[in-house]
Amino acid sequence: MALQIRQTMTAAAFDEWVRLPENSERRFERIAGEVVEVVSNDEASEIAINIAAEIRLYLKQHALGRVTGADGGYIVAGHHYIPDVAFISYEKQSGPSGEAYNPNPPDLAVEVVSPSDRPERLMIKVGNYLAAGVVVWVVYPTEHEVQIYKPGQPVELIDSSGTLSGGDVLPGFELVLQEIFPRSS
Amino acid sequence: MLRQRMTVEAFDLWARGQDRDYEYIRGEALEVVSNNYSSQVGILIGGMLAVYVTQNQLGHVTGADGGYQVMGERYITDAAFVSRSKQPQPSREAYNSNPPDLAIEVLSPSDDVDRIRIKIANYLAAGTVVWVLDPDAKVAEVYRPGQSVVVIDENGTLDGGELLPGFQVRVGDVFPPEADV
Repeated sequence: MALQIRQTMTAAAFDEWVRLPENSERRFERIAGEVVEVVSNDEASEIAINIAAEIRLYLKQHALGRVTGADGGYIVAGHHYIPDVAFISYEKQSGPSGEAYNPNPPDLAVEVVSPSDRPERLMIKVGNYLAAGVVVWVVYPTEHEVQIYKPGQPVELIDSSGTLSGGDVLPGFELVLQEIFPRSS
Repeated sequence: MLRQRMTVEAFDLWARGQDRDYEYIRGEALEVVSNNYSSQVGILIGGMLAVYVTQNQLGHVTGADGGYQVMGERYITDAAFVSRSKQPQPSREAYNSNPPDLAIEVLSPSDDVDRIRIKIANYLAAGTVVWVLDPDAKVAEVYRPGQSVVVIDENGTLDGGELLPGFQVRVGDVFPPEADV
């Protein structure tokens, strides 16, 4: 999510570098050749886990695939991404890859925007997700909005009073947006 | 900057009576605002494109007031190319009902990158190639339907590919040098 270091690396060098012992506790993405450390905040983290929990509940009823959290990496159109939440169908991959970055891109990626995100990077990520056939939900904590990007289809916008539907990826899945944003007690 | 919610039908009627250029993005009419430097970049690449396309009789090039209908929305790109095979005659519509083959967006500090991302995704869905020129980073980003994003630095070359065979420009050359003060 946020920039901590700014360094360009080849995919092969990146693969080696993330495995170094000093990096074992950190998470990195490789966006347009640039290494970016993933940093979040508690609000974005809460929203992400709320969405992941709803998807997991749905998947217990509909055995369609697996959900990964904010440390699940994927190789997307040659880049290394870590979406906040992702769903990958059994149809695409029957079991976990066991790799640091799953060589198969997910079917659905959820990106929760945090203030430290650079919007230019998100633009490139969405472009590459679409190229890899991935549906993307971009979630805006401040505006309580979600943008839905599907390959070959117009962008949809769901506002805070709306319901997010799983579409072809998670048929029958529905999420009332108000339920995923943190409330003050 | 004006920002107003309306239906696309209302927008089409309303936009005709305006002196300024507006886009229609996700249900909102938005005024197009640039700055001088981004405008220079836009006319430079647009000019190179216009010369090339005219010489090779490949189609039509529009500038920063050329509007297009893209996936039900209304966009105005800084420069765009429509091939002759897609559209033999230039369009006389305020917003061409054919999306362009190539759309060029020059970033300016007032741009909402979020909004540009929506535009790019809709362009891709409509089969349009998009070149994003970033004057701050001095890079070009190339978005093509179904292909991974390519980022080209100022020493690299923007290549017209299948769309504009033989068109090549060094990325640094589309960013006019800023005077040493």
